[in-house]
Amino acid sequence: MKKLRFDVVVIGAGAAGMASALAIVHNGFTCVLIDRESAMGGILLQCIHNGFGLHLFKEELTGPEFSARLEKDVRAADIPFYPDTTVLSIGKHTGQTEDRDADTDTGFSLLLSSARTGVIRVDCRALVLAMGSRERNRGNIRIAGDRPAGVYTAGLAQRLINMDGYLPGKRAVIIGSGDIGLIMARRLTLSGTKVEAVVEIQPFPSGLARNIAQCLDDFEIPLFLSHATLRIIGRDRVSGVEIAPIENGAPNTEKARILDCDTVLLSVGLVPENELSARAGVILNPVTNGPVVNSRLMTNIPGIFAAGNVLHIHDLVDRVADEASRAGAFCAAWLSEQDSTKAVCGVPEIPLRAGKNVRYTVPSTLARGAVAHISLRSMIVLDHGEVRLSRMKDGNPDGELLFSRRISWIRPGEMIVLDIPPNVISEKCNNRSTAENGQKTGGDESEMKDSVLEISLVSVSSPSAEARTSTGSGGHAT
Amino acid sequence: MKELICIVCPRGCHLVVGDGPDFPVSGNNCPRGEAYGRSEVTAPKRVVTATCPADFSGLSDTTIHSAESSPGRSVKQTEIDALDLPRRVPVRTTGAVSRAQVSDLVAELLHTHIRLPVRTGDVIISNWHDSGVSVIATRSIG
Repeated sequence: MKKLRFDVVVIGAGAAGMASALAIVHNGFTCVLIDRESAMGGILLQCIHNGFGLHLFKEELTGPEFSARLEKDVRAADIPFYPDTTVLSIGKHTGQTEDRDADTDTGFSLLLSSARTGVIRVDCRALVLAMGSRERNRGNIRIAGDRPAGVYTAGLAQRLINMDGYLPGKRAVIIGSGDIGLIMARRLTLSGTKVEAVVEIQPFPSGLARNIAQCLDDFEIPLFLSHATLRIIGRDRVSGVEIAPIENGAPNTEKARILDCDTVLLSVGLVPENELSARAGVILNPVTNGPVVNSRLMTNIPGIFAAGNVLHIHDLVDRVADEASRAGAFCAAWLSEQDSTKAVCGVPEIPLRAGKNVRYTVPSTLARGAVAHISLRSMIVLDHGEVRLSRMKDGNPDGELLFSRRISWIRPGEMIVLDIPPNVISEKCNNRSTAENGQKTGGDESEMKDSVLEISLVSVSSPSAEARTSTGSGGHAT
Repeated sequence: MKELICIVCPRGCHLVVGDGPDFPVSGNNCPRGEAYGRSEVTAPKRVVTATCPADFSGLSDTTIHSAESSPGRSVKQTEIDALDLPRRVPVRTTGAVSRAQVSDLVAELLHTHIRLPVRTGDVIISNWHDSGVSVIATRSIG
């Protein structure tokens, strides 16, 4: 069996994998990129629409163009790429196996398989998980009815149309208003398929406002909010879907009606693809379905990092690439620490949890004295809100406010990304020299040991409330 | 007065565009939003993305299967399948075209065969209908 050795293996060569591989190599370590598809780029290659890259490249690119920018850098950095390759297993060196190499007593051993190379073994010291996500399907949302042909996830239809050259049907209904579904409403229309409607069970669309405007409104495609899909109808092929408005928390079946169509697209969310991670012993967050990570995007297994949609579902690929660059840099820093005589790993971090109106936060812990980069998702719609980081202890329900920021236009479908300055957590915690000397100088450290950080979102009613908040009165919660 | 969602970037600002002749724009967070708001109420335009069918007949034998090819052999469909190349070439316009013309342009693109190999940025249609806008490939294939 062919054996390879790299400092790091990056699993998945989409935006997250490419960006983290670049950061690893730029920090002086070797890595290899692995993907089950035949080309780098992941889902970007089927996202032929534009709107990518405004943050990262300061221009508006299509998915394939965004991907090509990263791929060019990956090629220039001579990062080896194994296409059409599946990771069969991730094993951990125990330091006791006979065939372990003398210079590593910790690290990982992966088995890869592809038609071209057969089975290969790759030994590495660290891993970056960048496998992305897959689409939720009909089973995930339990739509009743027949099981005819013509039911697709939106991303599958996107691949069929944009890469394989097949049109999935003539008249379509799209269930769910996620961005991929909205993009596909426009693509289907431009490709000659009539889109009868987009049906969303929630009272607000889950995709970006701009996609409602440019993908639905431009083509006068109706959007039914607060409508449940009761069943899919059709024996051999879809002939329609039955929908009903949600009234008083339940579908009103007296107002049910049938939308005729031959195709149903499901755009009902994405799930991080973590079967491989879970088998390797990585602990997953039940809310995000992604790994639990610390402030350095490292999982519970030292040396395994995660970034992109495998960690949590992002709204923009620019944010995926940014997160993955940081994961790659953290991975490289961790490797450097392992090499140095005074390893500083193992410094306990402070737990960070999702508080009021917050569905989740990534990471799950924060480090003292470092810039905290937090991604979170709101559970509610707020036109004017404030995000707050508080220190909770001993049953005080409000905690002590450490940091707050006003944010307008908060939507569950859009990520909130916060950069918190390094002094916010260190000042309130024990100072570093005390920790390093191992001396407990009293109250502050033990206080911090028992405390938990919490992120919450509150509504602020008007711009005048903003002024009060900034003067430190604690804001005007409603 | 007209209310709009700005589509220039993912932020999706809520614009309010006043009446002519000045069409004052408010609610934007950047100059591009102001320009978009004004153009949207006067002459709406869109950047168009689409795909064109890929024509594999121009691919050389070596491109198709470098390891197993013999010179002068015609390319078989099964060999194209084995390459796992996409059947469609993604394209976009170099600028925005009138919204009313979008469907005409896309209809034309759906039947514009692109001979492989193609490189990102290759011009597929130059100055479409004297609009000043060209169509370019957005992916290198073959």
